Formats: sequence, structure tokens, C-alpha cells
Amino acid sequence: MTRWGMVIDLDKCAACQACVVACRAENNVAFAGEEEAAKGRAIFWMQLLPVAEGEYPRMKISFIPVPCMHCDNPPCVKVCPVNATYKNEEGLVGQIYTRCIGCRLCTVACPYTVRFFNWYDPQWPTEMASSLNPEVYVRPRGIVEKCSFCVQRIRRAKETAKAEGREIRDGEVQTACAQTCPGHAIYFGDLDDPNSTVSRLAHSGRAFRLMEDLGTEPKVYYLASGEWDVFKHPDEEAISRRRLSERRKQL
Amino acid sequence: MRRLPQEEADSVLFRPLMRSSWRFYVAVLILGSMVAWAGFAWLYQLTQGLGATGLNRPVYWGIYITNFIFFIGISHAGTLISAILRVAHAGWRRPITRSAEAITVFALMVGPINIIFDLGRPDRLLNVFIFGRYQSPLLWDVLAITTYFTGSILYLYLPLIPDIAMARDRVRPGHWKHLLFTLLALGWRGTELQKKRLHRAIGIMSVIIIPIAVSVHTVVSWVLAMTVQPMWHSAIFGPYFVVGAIFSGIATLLIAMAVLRKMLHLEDYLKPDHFNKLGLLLLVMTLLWLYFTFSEYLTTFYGNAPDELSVFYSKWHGEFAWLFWTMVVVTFIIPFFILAIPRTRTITGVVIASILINIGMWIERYTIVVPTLTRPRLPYDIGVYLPTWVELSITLGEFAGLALLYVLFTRLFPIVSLWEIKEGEEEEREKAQRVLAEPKPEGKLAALRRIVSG
Amino acid sequence: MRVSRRRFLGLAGAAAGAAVGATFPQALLGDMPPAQAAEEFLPLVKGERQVSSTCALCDARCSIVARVVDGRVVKLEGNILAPHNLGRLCPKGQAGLQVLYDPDRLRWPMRRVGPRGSGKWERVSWPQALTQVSEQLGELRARGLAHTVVFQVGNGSHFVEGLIGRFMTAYGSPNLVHQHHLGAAATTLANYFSQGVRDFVSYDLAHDNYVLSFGASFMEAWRHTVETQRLLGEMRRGRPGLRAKIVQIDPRYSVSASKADEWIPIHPGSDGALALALAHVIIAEELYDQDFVRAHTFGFEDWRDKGGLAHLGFKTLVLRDYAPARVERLTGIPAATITKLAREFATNPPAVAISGRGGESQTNGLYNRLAIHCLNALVGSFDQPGGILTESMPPFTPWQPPVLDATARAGGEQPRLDGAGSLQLPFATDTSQALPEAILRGEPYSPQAMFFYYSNPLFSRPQAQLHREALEKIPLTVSFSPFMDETTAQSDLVLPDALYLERWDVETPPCSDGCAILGLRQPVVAPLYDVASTGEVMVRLAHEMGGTIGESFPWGSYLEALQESCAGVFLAKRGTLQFPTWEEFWRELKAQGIWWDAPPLPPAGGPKFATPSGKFEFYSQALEMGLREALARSGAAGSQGVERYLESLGVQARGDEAFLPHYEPGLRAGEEREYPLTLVTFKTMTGSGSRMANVPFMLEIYGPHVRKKWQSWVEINPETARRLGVRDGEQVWVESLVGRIKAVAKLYEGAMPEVVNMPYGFGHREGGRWSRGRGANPNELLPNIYSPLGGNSSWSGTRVKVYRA
Ligand SMILES: Nc1nc2c(c(=O)[nH]1)N[C@H]1C(S)=C(S)[C@@H](COP(=O)(O)OP(=O)(O)OC[C@H]3O[C@@H](n4cnc5c(=O)[nH]c(N)nc54)[C@H](O)[C@@H]3O)O[C@H]1N2
Ligand SMILES: Nc1nc2c(c(=O)[nH]1)N[C@H]1C(S)=C(S)[C@@H](COP(=O)(O)OP(=O)(O)OC[C@H]3O[C@@H](n4cnc5c(=O)[nH]c(N)nc54)[C@H](O)[C@@H]3O)O[C@H]1N2
Ligand code: SF4
Ligand code: SF4
Ligand code: SF4
Ligand code: SF4
Ligand code: SF4
Ligand SMILES: [Mo]
Repeated sequence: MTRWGMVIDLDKCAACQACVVACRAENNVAFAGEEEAAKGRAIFWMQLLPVAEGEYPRMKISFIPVPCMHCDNPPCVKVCPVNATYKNEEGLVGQIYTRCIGCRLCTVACPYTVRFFNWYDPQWPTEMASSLNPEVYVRPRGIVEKCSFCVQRIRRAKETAKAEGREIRDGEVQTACAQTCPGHAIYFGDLDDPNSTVSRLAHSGRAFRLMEDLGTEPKVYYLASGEWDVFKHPDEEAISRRRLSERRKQL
Repeated sequence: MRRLPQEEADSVLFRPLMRSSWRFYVAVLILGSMVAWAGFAWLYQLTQGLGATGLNRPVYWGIYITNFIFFIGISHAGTLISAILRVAHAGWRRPITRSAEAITVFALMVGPINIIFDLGRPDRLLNVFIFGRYQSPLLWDVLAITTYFTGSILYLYLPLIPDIAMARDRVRPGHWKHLLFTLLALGWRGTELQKKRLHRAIGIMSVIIIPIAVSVHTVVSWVLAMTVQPMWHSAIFGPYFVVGAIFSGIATLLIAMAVLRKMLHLEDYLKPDHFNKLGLLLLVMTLLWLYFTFSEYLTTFYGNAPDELSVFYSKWHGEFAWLFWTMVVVTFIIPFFILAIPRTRTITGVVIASILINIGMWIERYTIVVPTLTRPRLPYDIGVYLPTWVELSITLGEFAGLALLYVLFTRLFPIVSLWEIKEGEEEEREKAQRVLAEPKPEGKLAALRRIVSG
Repeated sequence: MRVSRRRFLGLAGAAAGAAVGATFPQALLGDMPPAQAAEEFLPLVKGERQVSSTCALCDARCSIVARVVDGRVVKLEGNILAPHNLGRLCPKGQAGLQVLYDPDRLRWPMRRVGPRGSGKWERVSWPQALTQVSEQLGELRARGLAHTVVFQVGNGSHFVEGLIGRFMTAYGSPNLVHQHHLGAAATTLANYFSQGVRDFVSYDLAHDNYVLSFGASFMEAWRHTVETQRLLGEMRRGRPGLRAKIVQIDPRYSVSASKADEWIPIHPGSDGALALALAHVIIAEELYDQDFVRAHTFGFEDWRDKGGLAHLGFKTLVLRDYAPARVERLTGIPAATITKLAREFATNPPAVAISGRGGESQTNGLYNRLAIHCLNALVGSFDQPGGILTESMPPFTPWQPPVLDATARAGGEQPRLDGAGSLQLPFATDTSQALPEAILRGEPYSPQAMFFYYSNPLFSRPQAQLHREALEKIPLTVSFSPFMDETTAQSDLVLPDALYLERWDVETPPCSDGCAILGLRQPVVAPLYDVASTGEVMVRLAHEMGGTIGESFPWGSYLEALQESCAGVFLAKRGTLQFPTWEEFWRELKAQGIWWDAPPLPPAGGPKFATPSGKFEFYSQALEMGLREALARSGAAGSQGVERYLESLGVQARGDEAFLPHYEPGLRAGEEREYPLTLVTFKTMTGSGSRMANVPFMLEIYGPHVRKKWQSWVEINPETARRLGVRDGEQVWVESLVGRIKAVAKLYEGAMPEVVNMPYGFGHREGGRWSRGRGANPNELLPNIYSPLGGNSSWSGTRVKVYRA
């Protein structure tokens, strides 16, 4: 069975927020505007969270892209009174917009605070509204939404695979955030497939998940960024030369 | 103390049913317009969306949920307290059960509406029944509260029957009230059989209603406690909330009693000793509340989990400190001294304590709901929440609404259970007389024991 | 709330084994399969189009693919076939649809009806507009004032820029003034003086083990943005067992600094001194690549010229003057740190020292860059993996030279209005900063018309106010901007360009390994409004003017001109698209949106340098000769010695030192006593020059490192703020010699105590509904100071004071 998951390599992430914007563009997330954003009402299915530590000059900011974790054991799903959020057999934590009553029990239950409420109806100037993604609902006010792992893209890939009479290939489903990530830091795929990129990365020594102690079993894995060590590689020159010539050969 | 002949006394109780003073109209007018204003605020919110509130991310819940918990809390005034007292055969309960039960019913009418105010899509409320998921604490709430509400209405209604019958007999036939009372009296004639059945029914109800009441506030607490959020995810929350509920319930009851006593001249029925006794009960609850609060906060502090601590400190010395410490002062420190010192445990003293306690308990609900939400586990910006005029209007409207329902109720039904008093006087005249009349010479401990033993 | 990074990052390794046994009972709580709502999903779209094109929202020019449904663009993605962005886009690129569908776009040509800047316009038709322009230009030409027409161009389409240049030449004006020198003059000039390439160079970061960045915002701006972001991952994770170290030298803790392994705060403007101190250690400890230095550099050791005159060598100079201990105070960097960095840099090859506007952003920028570039020579990082590579261009068909009549020739020989190339600015090609003074003085002549293409001087230049004043003196101003920017608002005629998703262009994006790239820009949708691509307008204008000007534009249309250029690429039969017929080539180019050719191989026999010595020149003969030639051209050679000339150019060093990398103190505007702080401005990933300020998606994520959205801010060190009595979030005045602006104070541990930082991009006085009046523009604070030698502006040479508003 497919179990969709994501891996985000913090060592490669450039903290650019392309994922943030790509997600909003793909999933018809309206901007909130100055006042509403100041109130914390902007909706970001994917957000770049800065974690600052230390004082000048020993200052450090770590940036962490945070989508919904699609927990295998999702605290949000448990509490929903109407089954408007659910976990499907592929591990996606989905949201049925037409059913949600907007009680926000799920939003307060999500330990990652990645569920968002529509305080108002989303607003675009008419011109901008014409660039909405026709495959994704525009959510009305009063309901909750969150990262869907770009479920429409998964559906499309499935349809294509089905039409071609084959299984979905590793890497075939690309979420909007992963597709645009300039750092190539986001991977998406099937965690249950032992050969998939995500499952191999998820087993890397650098892999960790946010707040694992809560037992939510997130399906978003992070790869820790490393520290630079003083090293002396006798063959480094050779290695890089070989790589360049390989690259040239490929071209 | 002035004692009225029985007839006269009864008419005191029935007087408000018969004619209304200008004060009544003024009260209805003021309260009514507050409710109407709240209605307008809600309409505004409906047209604008919940954006009209001060809620945001991460503070997804605010004073609607606070009100919800608070009113469900004070609903324990009644049914639960009167049931406990009934089950314990506390004779002195008789004059106060009615007003207590009425509070329950009205608080249960006001409290849960907050959920509707708080819903993003109140128009989809029915989804709760169509798609209801029984694993959701919210559904437990729906179940428990509806049961409690039904039970409480029944529990208010059953002991009302004889009094309604009495009222029926006093109203001129043909008047609409006569019709109403006739209908509600269910042909009560006061026969032995009827009395027996009524006692039986009330007895059963009072036993049933206790676990329901306890369950209600427990599941209300579970809406918070079932999440893994810092300072919500606590096993103590069930009993903590129940205790808080009873606590604020008694306080509300005392306020209501005092008001009724003044407004409806019920000095003969609601006696200083009632206040004294309930005051002592309140004292116990204050201590119990402190105990729970202390355990809750000490374990958090001692455990030193960073997520929990950041919420803890927001209350200890952060932006919620003024609320938190106000709460400690008004729910514990001041009430404790007022209630513990016999000289201040007067009606005025007890009422002051009760008012403070209710303020404090509202703050307690607020400082349970909001601070946790302002401190998301991930280091997002700290949440800031300021209720808007819409929320404040609706909140005030709720208090006004509760008072309004109460005022209207007192105009329709005797607020003191007449027949029970009579019955009590007949059946236990000796004992009751002693209990009611004597200033308690035996001191606090004995008084407490008596309250429990009846 | 201060949260330890450990909480996030310290849990590494726990992932695999963490599965909790008891999932089954939990499943009962959560895994209720919902009675699926039939309407949960919208139907998938059938029959969409994917159109390849090229982003134009910054200079990186990523290749894009647009998803078009029913004639509407619904999503932009990166083009997977592109070697530079490899299918990826940055946040600006992702927000491109909010640029295309910006409700405040200008929709048709407009003529001013009220006084300038009054905002009163009337719509005119394109023929009307073109006739007006051609008539006015024709009249000027007839009056012999062709040379008084100035065309300011910015970071737009290089192809259109070419056409504009051609038009100007044929018309008879020398005044095509580009703005690239604002950020790049010191870089390209130093490249020229030291390695003979008057251009940007490529850094093969993918293969580097050590990167020393002197104020290059390599994660936010710099050059090939999206590619550099990928290279970060390459350097760290691309090579098993090898992880490059990146050091960011920057007065502020930028996003780039956060992504580096080490942040070295430095006093603004002192980068040259630091670089030379690093060189000192490397040379003193003999850590440099001696073979490379011996074989491929010039002026390292003391030397004698042909006349037998002894000259100072780089080594002697550096060992004499730049011991770390002496540089410590100047740069604010401890000597021990300098020594450590030098050792790391020299012993972990391949290593490069890169620099951006930061390291070069003062009047001493040229020498700073020369000093920085020397480090690359010391470790031999040229034309080898991980080193500096030369950029290459697609083999476009060269254009026939424009046809010039006598007027054109006469006009072309007039001195430039901006003085670039004159005795005062000997090496500059463009100096748009010099325009306002020239205009206000009326010397060497008064411009009669000024055109703006992709350029907004009223916002983006230091002392932006000056440009406004100057503009008032010009009888005709025409803007091609599709947006009502500050400059456009002051113009007489607006000829709105088609947006990048509506027009044709060819682009030549940069790439880290020197790959030649042709990015085709093609209309993804038909223009939404009555707008026309400026390229097309230039062709039509030339035709309308007729004569030799018309003849110089032998193409029927802009597209034809563009295809003619591309034909060269087709004919070369190189690179990714090789087809027997042009039709096939063109079809595929349109389908793929991109052509590219592998980077040139490193020259056999080691790197070649196009310098007088054929080597990397520590001692720049080109600089020396250039100065002498400039003197000779002006006929002042005899009377004015090089020494005095240097003095007039503001260079303090004398003798050989002036031609060697050395530290020159940069000019500072303002007395330290009155203005104790230095102002640094910076670009963000979310902004692009003066653009993107009306894009809500960008505004809502503007400054992630300080969690700022929808407003500009000034970063102040908390300690400094305490001294100033300023609290976080308060409004403060930032005041310099030439102005003051209000901004929100952001207490930031990443600010140096004596430096305050402001983002560049906010503070528009005109523009759209979201940009106008939002935040403050630091350019109203910067005095118009620039380096006569380098031509670059002084961006972090302004002292300010900050106080509560
Ligand atoms: N996202 C984005 N990308 C862009 C652009 C854009 O506007 N937005 N613009 C493009 C253009 S036109 C250009 S010119 C390039 C410019 O790109 P860069 O050359 O990278 O220049 P800036 O982004 O201005 O970065 C300047 C950095 O230098 C630091 N700095 C300031 N003074 C000093 C100093 O004295 N010493 C040192 N070491 N550092 C200093 C600043 O704090 C800042 O971090 O970017 C291009 N790419
Ligand atoms: N304080 C401070 N000032 C700076 C800098 C800094 O770092 N700090 N950086 C400097 C540097 S390096 C540079 S290069 C400049 C850049 O600054 P600008 O010269 O302002 O250049 P841009 O912002 O790239 O674009 C200029 C104008 O082009 C117009 N435009 C946008 N799209 C189109 C289009 O499709 N067609 C046409 N014809 N026009 C269009 C817009 O209206 C915009 O106003 O800023 C400089 N100013
Ligand atoms: S797009 Fe990629 S590199 Fe950019 S912030 Fe997101 S994860 Fe990081
Ligand atoms: S991260 Fe939050 S919203 Fe997402 S599945 Fe987990 S609990 Fe639910
Ligand atoms: S807000 Fe919607 S999804 Fe969340 S718990 Fe309530 S009904 Fe379920
Ligand atoms: S997976 Fe899709 S929905 Fe989730 S953050 Fe990425 S782009 Fe957004
Ligand atoms: S880096 Fe520049 S060209 Fe590339 S997507 Fe971003 S804005 Fe467009
Ligand atoms: Mo620039």
C-alpha cells in the first residue's frame, strides 16, 4: 500500500520560500492582506519557520519549512466531530471542505499548528482570480484547511498511471512545493516502498521528525543540517575533477 | 425575626406571579436590549464571518469557548447541588432547590449557544448529527449536554408540579396563565398516590442527574484535555473542571438567592443560615479549588517540560499574569477570609465572595483556554488575542440573557418550592425547626458534618 | 520564547525506531474511513496547454513552463530542461501570476493631461503615441539635438536593450545609459583589470570545498539565484563524504549568513583590508598555490619593467602592510579569526572567494574586489573545477551594423551626458548616477528627451530625490513601464510594455559552469490589455521615423529580428537543439523554451587571461595603461601626471600601490559624532529591485529572518537599541545628511552594534494599491556618492542616526 510521505533536507534548504508561494499558487490560497496578516490570519499550508538563537555575534537562525505532517496518528482527525478531516488508506490526512463545521477542534488539537481557518471569504481582485487552479476548491469562510499533500496531483498521477496500465513511479508525484524547491530539498513519495527516495532518506542517520515524542508519527521527515568539519581529503581534487568530467560526458 | 402567618408567606411567593412591579419592566427592558444588541452583534458576525472576532491563528478559541465552559460550570449550581442535597436529605435545601435548578436549565440554554457562536459554519450544525463521529470529544459534549439539559428540565419540572397546581388554583380561570398552569400541572391534586409517585420520580432523577452532571463537566474539560496541548493535556482536568463547576455553581446560586430574597422579599424562606451553610460549602469548594489548582500548576512547574512551562510562565509572570493572579486573589484569597471568618460570613459577605468567585472562575476558564493557544509548540510568533466588540457584546448578552430568563421565570413560577417546604415542615418540623432556627453552636466542623448528614 | 534548536535538530536518528506499538487501538480513534462526500474533489482538468517561456522577474532568467487552461495561466513551474534552474523557480517566479494579473497594471498608452506627476492621463492609441514620439524625435534631430536624447535602461530584456542601442546609434545619440553599473561596475571592472574579462565570471560552486563570500547575497540575490540555491545542496550533500564550508562575511546576519557555516560580521567597506590580511597569512605561511602563482600571475614578486624600473610586488605589499593584527581594528574581525579563515581557505581546495555588491558597495569597491579576487589567484582557482570559469554566449547571428547618416554620426560623437568614459570617469561605461548633476548643471548640454525602459531612477538610485528634480528639466519623458512606478508617474507619455508572459524575447541567462544558454521568452497568453512589447515598439518607431533609422531596422517585425538572431544558433548546429531545418529548430525551441550548450572545457595548458601579460595580474597593467590613455586622449598627459590624476579620481594610494590591490578607505557621508551608525541596505529573495512591491504573495512573506510581512523595518542591534531607547516594533526616524525616513524598529541580534540595516524595495511613492506608501525607501537617505574610478555607487557608505519617532 502506498503511504505518502515527504522528506525535507534542511542542509539543502535555501530558506527561499518558493515552496510557500508555490503552494499558495497551486492550492488557491488567498493572501490575507496587511491587517489580517498582522493578526496572524494569513494562511500558509507551507511556511518557513525561522528559529533564532543566540546573541550577536553568535547568532544562529535555522529555517524550517513546515507543511502538514500528515501524521499517521493524527490528533486532528481523532477530534473532528463530523469526519470532515480523515486519514485515508494511503496515509493522507484529508479535509472535506463541504462538511467541515468550523469548530476548530482540529486546529487546537494539531500540535504543529498547521491547520488554518478561513476567517473571511477569500478575496482576490477579479484579475487575479482568473489564475486560480481549476482543480482545487476555493474554500469559503468558516472552514478549516491545510496542506493536502497536493492531493489533486496525486489523483492526476494515478489517473495517468492507470491509463497507461502501470503503477505510479517513484518521483512521479511531485507536490507543488517539491516541484519548485530551488534547493532540491523537498522529496515526495511512498514511504512504504523500501526503494523509494523518501523511504531511503527517511532511514538516513540525519532523519528526524518534529516532536516525535508526541507519538503522532509524522510522515514528514527532516534531514538535519550538518556542521562543517575541518577535514583534509587527499583525493578531493580527484573527486571533483572526476565529477566535472562526468557531468561533461553527460552533456 | 419577623414571622408571617403561613397564608401571608405563601402570597409573598405568589405575588410576583400575579402582578409585576415597574422594576420588573425596567429589568426586562435593560436585559432585553442587551440581549437584542448581542443578537445584532451575532448577525454582524454571521454576515462578516468569524473574522469579526479577535480570534486568529494560533489563538483559535477565545471567549466563546470560555463562556461555554463557564456557563456549563454554573449550570452545576443547580441540579447537581440540589440533587446532592436531596439525596443526602439535607432538609435546609428545600427553599433553595428551585432557584438552583432554574439556574441549571438557563445556564444550559445559554452555555452551549456559545458553540454556535464559535462555529465557522453554524449553518452546518446538523452535520454533527448526520456525520457525527463518536470518537470526538465534541460529540461527547453534545451527548452529555443534551442529556443533562433534558434531565435538568425534568428535574426542575417535577418538583414544580405541585406548586404549579397551587398557582393554577390561585389564578382566575380564563386567564392565559390559568391555561398554562393547568396544562403544566398535569392534573395534580396532591393525592397521596400522586405524591408518592412524585417523590419516587424526584428521587430517581436526583440519583441519575448526579453522574450526568459530573459527566458533563468532565467531557467539557476533555475537549481540551484530549488534545496533547501544553497545560490542557491533563488527567486532572475532569475533576478539576467538575470542582470548578460546582464551585462557581454554588456561588451563582448564592447570588441568585440573594437577589431573589431582596427583590421578591423572600427573607422568610431564604434565611441567613442558608447563606451561612452554603457559604461553608463554598469555603470547602474554595479549598478544593485551590488544591486542584495547586496540584495542576505544581506538577507542571515541577515537570519542567519546556512546552508546558512556556504556557505556565505566561500565566505566572507573562502577559496573563495579571489575570492569573487576579484569579487567585478573587477566587481564593478574598473569599477564603470572608468565608472562613464567621463574622464576615454574612449574607453580604457570602454574596461578595460569590461574585468574586464567579469573576475568578470566568478568568480561570479564560486562562485555561487562551494561554495554551498563544504558545504553539513550534516557535511561531506568540499568539495575541483581544476580543472584539462583537465577542464582548455577545458575552454581555449571554449574562443578560441568563438574568432575563431568570427574571421571567420568577414571574411565572414560584421560585421557592412551596410544597416541599410545607412538607418538610410537616414531616420534619421538629428537626427542621431546630436546624433552621438555631444558630449553630457546635462550630464549623459539626456544621459541616450536619450539612453532609442533612 | 527562546527555543533550542536541539528540539528540532537534535532528534536525528530517533526516526527509524520510534514507532509506537499500540497503533491499533489508536486507529479506532482516528482511522474512521469517512463516508466520502461525493463533492470532495473537483474534476481534473482535461486539455490544458504547457507553454515554455522565460521568467523576467530578476536577472537570473529562469526557464519556465506555464500551465494554461482556457486561455488563463493557472500555474508557473520551472522548466526541467533548463541547465541553470533545472525545473525550479524562486518565490518571485512562483508569484509571477500576481504580476501578470496585477490589477494595477497600465492597460493602454497614455498621455499626460495635467501637470507632471498630477496623475491625470488620457488614453491614446498606439499609432497616435508612436506618431507623437517619432515627430518629437524627428524635430529634435532636425534641430541637431539628436544627441540630447537619453535612454535609460535597466534589468530588462537584453535583446530589447540591443534594439534600443541600435536605435540610439542610428538616431544619433551616445546616451544609452544602462544601470548595471549600480551593482556591477566594480565587479566587472576588477575582473577586467585582473583577469582581462570585462564581464561577470562564473563560479563553479558545485565543486567547491570552501566558499568565502564577501557580501554576496548568494542565497537571496547575487546572480543565478535558483541555480546557486541548488549548488548549496550540491556543495553539502552532492558529494558523499565531502561537505563544503561556506563563510559569509557580511555586516548583517542575512539569510545567506544563516545558510553559511560561519558568519563573520565585518565593518562595512573594509572587505579589501580583510582580503589582504587573508592573503598575508596565506603568503606568510606559504599556503598559496606556488605553481599557479609562478606560471599564471603577474606582479606577485617585486619586479622590474622593461625600462628597468623596480616595482613593488603584491607579496611585499601584503606582507608589509596587512598583518591580521593591523587589520583587526579596521574590520572588526579578530586576528585569530583571520588567520583561521586564511588557513582553511588555502588548505581546502578547490576554494573560491566570491563577492557581491556588499563587498564592493563603497567608493573603494574596485580595490576591494581586486583584493578579494587575488585570493582566487593565490589558490589557483581559475579554469578548473570549483574555480572561476568564463561565461559563454550562444552563437547568435550578428546584426548588420546600423546605417548611419551624417546626423547620426555627429550625434554619436558628442560626449555622453553621464560622463562615462570621460576624463572624470575614465573606466565607466554607464554612470546613471551622474545624470542628475549633469542635467541640473546643463552641462555638457541639456537633454531634450529621456526614455525609460525597465528603469526607475526616482526610486532606485541613491538620493532618489535628485533624479526627480533633474527630470523636471527635461521637456519630454517617456516611460515603457507596464506599471505606474515613480518615474513613470513623472513622465509625459507612457507606452506600456507587454508583461513578460505576453511577449517575445531571447535571453542569455548566466550559469555557474559557464554554459551558454538561450532562453526563449514567448507569449504564454495574448496580452491582456492594449499593451505592446517594447521591442515591437522600437521596431515600429524606427520604421515610422524612416530614413536611415528605418533602414537600420530591416525586419518586418520584432519577432523577425528575434528569429534572425536565433538563426545563428540554428546554423551553428551545436548544443541541445540540432535540426536539419529552421522550422524544426524553431518549433523545438518554442516547445522546449531553451537551448544550451555545454560549458567550454578548461583551456589546455592551464588558464588563459586576456590581460596585457596574459596572466592574472596582481599589478594591473590595464589599469595603469587605461589611466595613461585617458590622460593622453584628453591631451592632459603632459601637464597632469598620473599621480595628480589619481588624486582627482579620489584614489589615495600612490605609485605602484595604486595599481595593486590595496585597501582604500571608502568615503563616508556624515560625521561619526552626529551620525554614529552606518546604514546598510540589502535585497531580499522576495523583492527584485524596485519591483515585486505590489505583489501580495511577496509582501506576505517579505522578511523571513525577522518575521516581517507587509512592512519595512530597520534592523538594530538590541544593545544599540537599548542605548537609543528604542523598543522593538516602535517607529523610528532614520536620518542622514540628505534626508530622513520613518521605519519600524526591529531589534535583531544579527545587526552589528554600529550598523543598522534596511531592506531595499519598500517605500514607493507611486505604484499599485499594495506598494504605494508602504514602508520607507532607504534611497532617500543615501547621498549620491560614487567612485569616479569604478563607477559604482556607495551603498553602505552612509552614516545615519536613529531616534524614536
Ligand atoms: N531576489 C533578488 N535577486 C536579485 C536582485 C533582486 O533585487 N532581488 N537584483 C539583482 C541585481 S540587479 C543585483 S546587482 C544582484 C545583487 O546581488 P548581491 O551582489 O548579492 O547584492 P545585495 O543583494 O545587495 O547584497 C548585499 C549584501 O552585502 C552586505 N553588505 C553591505 N555592505 C557590506 C560591506 O561593506 N561588506 C560586506 N562584506 N557586505 C556588505 C549586505 O548586508 C547584503 O547582505 O542581485 C540580483 N539578483
Ligand atoms: N538602497 C538600495 N538601492 C538600490 C540597491 C540596493 O541594494 N539598495 N540596488 C541597486 C541595484 S544593484 C539595481 S540593479 C537597481 C535596480 O533598480 P531599478 O532601476 O528600479 O530596476 P528594477 O527594479 O529592476 O525595475 C525598474 C522598473 O522596471 C519596470 N518594469 C517592470 N516590469 C517591466 C516590464 O515588463 N517591462 C518594462 N519595460 N518595464 C518593466 C518597473 O516599473 C520598475 O519600476 O537598484 C539599485 N538601488
Ligand atoms: S523551496 Fe526548498 S529551498 Fe526554498 S525554502 Fe522551501 S524547502 Fe527551502
Ligand atoms: S500535522 Fe496537524 S493537521 Fe497535519 S495530520 Fe498532524 S495533527 Fe493533523
Ligand atoms: S473545524 Fe472542521 S475539520 Fe476541524 S474538527 Fe471541526 S469540523 Fe472537523
Ligand atoms: S504538499 Fe502541496 S499542499 Fe502540501 S505544502 Fe506542499 S504544495 Fe502545499
Ligand atoms: S530567480 Fe529570477 S528569473 Fe528565476 S524564477 Fe526567480 S525571479 Fe524568475
Ligand atoms: Mo543591480
